[in-house]
Amino acid sequence: MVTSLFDYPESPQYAENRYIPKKLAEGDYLVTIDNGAWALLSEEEHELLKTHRVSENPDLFKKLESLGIIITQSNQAKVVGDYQARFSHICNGTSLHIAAITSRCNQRCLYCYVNPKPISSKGFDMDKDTAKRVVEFMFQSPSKAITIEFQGGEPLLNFPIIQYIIDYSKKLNKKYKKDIVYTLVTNLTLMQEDILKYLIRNRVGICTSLDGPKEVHDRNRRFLGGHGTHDEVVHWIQDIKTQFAYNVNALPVITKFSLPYAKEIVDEYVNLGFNRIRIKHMIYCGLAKENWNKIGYTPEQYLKFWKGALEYCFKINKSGRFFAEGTSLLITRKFLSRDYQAFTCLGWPCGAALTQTSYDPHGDIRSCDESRSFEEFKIGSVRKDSYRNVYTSPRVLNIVALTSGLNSLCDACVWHPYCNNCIVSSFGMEGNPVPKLPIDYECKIRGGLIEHVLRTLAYSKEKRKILMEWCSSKQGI
Amino acid sequence: MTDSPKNVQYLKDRVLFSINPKIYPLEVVHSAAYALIDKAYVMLDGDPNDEIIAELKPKNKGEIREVVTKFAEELLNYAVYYNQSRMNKGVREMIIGRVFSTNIQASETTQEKDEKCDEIADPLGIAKPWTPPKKKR
Amino acid sequence: MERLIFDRKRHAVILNLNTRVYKMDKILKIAQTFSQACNVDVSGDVDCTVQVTLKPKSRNMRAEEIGYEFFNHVLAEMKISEDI
Repeated sequence: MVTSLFDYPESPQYAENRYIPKKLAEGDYLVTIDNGAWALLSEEEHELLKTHRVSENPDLFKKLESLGIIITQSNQAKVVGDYQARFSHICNGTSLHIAAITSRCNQRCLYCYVNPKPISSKGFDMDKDTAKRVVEFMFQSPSKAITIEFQGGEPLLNFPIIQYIIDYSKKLNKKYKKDIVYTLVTNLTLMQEDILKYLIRNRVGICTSLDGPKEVHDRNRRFLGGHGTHDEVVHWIQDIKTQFAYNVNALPVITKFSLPYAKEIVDEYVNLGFNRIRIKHMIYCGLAKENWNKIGYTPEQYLKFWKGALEYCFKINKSGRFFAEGTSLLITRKFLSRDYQAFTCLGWPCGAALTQTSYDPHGDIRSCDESRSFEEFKIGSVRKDSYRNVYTSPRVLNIVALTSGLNSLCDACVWHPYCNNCIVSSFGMEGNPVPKLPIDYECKIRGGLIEHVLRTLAYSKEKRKILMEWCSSKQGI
Repeated sequence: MTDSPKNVQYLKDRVLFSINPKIYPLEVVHSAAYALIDKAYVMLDGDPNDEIIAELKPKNKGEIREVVTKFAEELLNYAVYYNQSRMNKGVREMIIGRVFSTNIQASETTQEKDEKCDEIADPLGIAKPWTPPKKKR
Repeated sequence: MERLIFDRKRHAVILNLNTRVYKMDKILKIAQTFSQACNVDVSGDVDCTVQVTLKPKSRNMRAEEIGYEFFNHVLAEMKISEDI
């Protein structure tokens, strides 16, 4: 006679969520699920999960249930909530609007993803009519918060339009009541005190490029006449921070010339009073693609550089000074939090044509800022398309589908929840937005970054503590 | 891929691929061939149920091996692509559907009355195109 | 059957397109596009193989190259319509 079937081994107490395993080390198995939850399991624990016998280990059961790696009657609602939090960006509309108000520039940086036009060129500035349409388009986004970011070329070459866009957006916002943030991406070499005061008065965030000490920066970033820009950039960074007591952000783009100078590049930022550095690799597009023979590197070379810089940042923190590395910080947040981390790259679907959009001087709309290198990523025009038409078009929906990684083996990768394929980079390298993952430059770099952060979190108590301090810091990073 | 696999026949200035449609169906061959049209002329033939023939003529002489390698890579890439697409169709459609339903709520185009946009308050006199040389501090 | 036959005498090129592999409506669409620069003739068996004869209107144009381009154009047309 059967008195109880409670312990019956076939009885499904749980269902397994779709997980991807990876052996990290002898006896250590990482498992991740789509929404970014993860667990490091021992050999025995992994065996139990693999053979559907998690119930035999109550502690394991509890751990996997709390993470949503197994789904039970009691955690279903939480798992649904976790997925909603992680993928909230597909429900919000476009929030980052990049207005490239000119293609003209007074510099010709070796890796520029725009094809910059000389200062004297005509017909490459956004005019008032286009700017008006761009702003009206931005406000059609369902997102309650929008960031309007001015880029170029060098946007200060068309400063009146910056002012116009700010004024007009504030006027429109009396009706729409969105939270608006303004930012300016500038090379700083054309900054003037009056302009700076205007930007400060209107709370416009300022971001610039500083590729490192003079010997590195001036090789990558030069005036059209040929001489370096380091002195001017550093002058204005110091002025803005000290004399005007206003925040300015900077980030270095790494080229082949940068590779021997990891420590020096970090020191440059430390000495200028920054509390973080977000190290950025080149995307294979624009002038970077043209100059790749001169300035390019392999994914392995870049990762070696980045790990060295990160290690040096840890050393600085151990000596008592707070200084964060931005890429590792972002990835750490993805490992530690169930929430969506607002950043176009490193997440699926990526923000291209979803959370970010970019407008060129003539009002053409692109899926993201780097995609401006290629005509193929044009998704509409403010002159003839509404937001609804653009963002429900087959072209945009195809882009979202592509960057979800669900059409490729991204879907079978343990790092997929924290990553995404870059269709701009794939197109630049292979002429095809569908990535060839085994040889994809971007895949190797991103996978390498993410794996390194996870290993650091898992295996180094001291560095894990530093990473977590960076995440919880209120130092505005 | 070996230098001369059995299904590849090198001719003077072109190469013939014999493709098994059970491994690489016609849609995969189309996509792989399309990926090559900047580097080669591609002519397809055969029976989609039995054997598909792809004739590739590189546009630049001397690139024949490169074209062969790339075509083989693209066949594999797209075979995976289509398999994954089929497997994940449901999830993908759900995501796309959600994005669609978010964006369909977008407001109608804003048509503001003609503001006097030319008259921007400019007490500092800085609303002019940048032309003069930068003053040294 | 040769997929592309170059008729030097007539300065024309004859293409044999397998309709199991190339869609007929795309062949016709591209043939129409090419008719601006060439005299185009389409014949054959719609269920098997269709012959497209292209004779460039200008002697400066290379017939053989135009023939190859025709194949690529039909392929591109099929891909683009699939993706959208």
